[in-house]
Amino acid sequence: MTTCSECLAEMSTVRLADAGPGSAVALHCAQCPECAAVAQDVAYAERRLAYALSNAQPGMLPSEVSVNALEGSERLRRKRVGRWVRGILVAAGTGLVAFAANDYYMSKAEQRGQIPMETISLRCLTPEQAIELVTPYLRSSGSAVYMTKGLHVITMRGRADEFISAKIQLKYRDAPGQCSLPVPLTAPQPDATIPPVSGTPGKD
Amino acid sequence: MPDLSFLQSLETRPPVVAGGLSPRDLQNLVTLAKRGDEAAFTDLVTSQHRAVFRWALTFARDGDEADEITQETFVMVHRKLSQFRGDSPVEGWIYGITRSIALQRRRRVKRRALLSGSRMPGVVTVYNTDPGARVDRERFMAYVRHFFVELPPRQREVFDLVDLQGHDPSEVAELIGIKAATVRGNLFKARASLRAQLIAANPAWKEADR
Repeated sequence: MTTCSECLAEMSTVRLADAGPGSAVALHCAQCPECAAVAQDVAYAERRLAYALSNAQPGMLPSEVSVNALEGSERLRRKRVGRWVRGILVAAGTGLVAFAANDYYMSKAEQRGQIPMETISLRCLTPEQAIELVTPYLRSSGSAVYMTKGLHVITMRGRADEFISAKIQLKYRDAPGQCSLPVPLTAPQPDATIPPVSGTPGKD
Repeated sequence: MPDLSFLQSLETRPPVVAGGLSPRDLQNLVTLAKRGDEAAFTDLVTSQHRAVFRWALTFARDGDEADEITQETFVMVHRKLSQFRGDSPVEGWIYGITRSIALQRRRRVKRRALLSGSRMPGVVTVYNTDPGARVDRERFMAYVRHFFVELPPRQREVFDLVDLQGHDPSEVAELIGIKAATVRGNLFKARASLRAQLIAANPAWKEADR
């Protein structure tokens, strides 16, 4: 014999349509008017809900929905194509810029490779002093002066006329006779076309 | 002796909303629509419109949102026509789209609410030229919300499909893409939660709960 509590517990989880005449819920409800009233209420509430949902009318006509769907789908398709085209254009633009930059830097590097270089061994000047001396005369694009660690030499890169001016400075101050003498305050100017010095000594 | 005929009457479910087309007809319409036949697509929409709206109602906050979900669903159906291979029933495929659109909207609304620091927005008030219809719709949705508001979406969906629409749990499992045991678990929780409210609200309950 099912008690009311057991019947209510069963009623709260079972599918009411399955609670046929022989079920525990039906048998108990046949004896107990209170539980039968609860069961009836629950069943009708769910039934009302099911009917309410099934009878609900959409706010739009199917033809309207169909037209909107076709237009919306077309809009989305165009958007997608537009996104693809934009992506392709951006990729092409990036590729072009990368190609141009690569070309530019490669040609620069090639140019740098063609600039003549010369290594000069020093007698009494230190490489730092020599660099300080020649830097103002190596002014063209791509020109530079380096020292090699552990060697008493400097390597210059630049135009031939710049080498001449720089070598004159070195020749005067790095001559065998000059090595024991203090460096004079003013050095002779190699020619009158030397640009005003404003570069940083030791510039690479 | 109490009359128990209501228990048997539950076997007669409300008519399941359908367009009256056979699965083969639906497949044919999809095949034609895939080839760009707009009339076939319109027929497909006409046959499935109410069913989609009915499904959308269980996810929506109100009738207007259900309409929006329905509209978005058909946009997506048209977009994905080419992807439909015909291995599964057309209705199941459309249900999957409806479900995913509704859940996406729910996530979007939640995210917006989170960002704006507000709670979930209430019923959207949309201007309607027919105030009577508007009131009816609002009353109807209030009735549905009264039942469904406490249920999580998955439980709501499972309860609706099994208990209200009369699908088999294994069918629902296939439709939603979850295990049948999970469907039954959710169904159990949904019934318990809904009926607890109904039973507690019943005046005969105090007498019965001795």
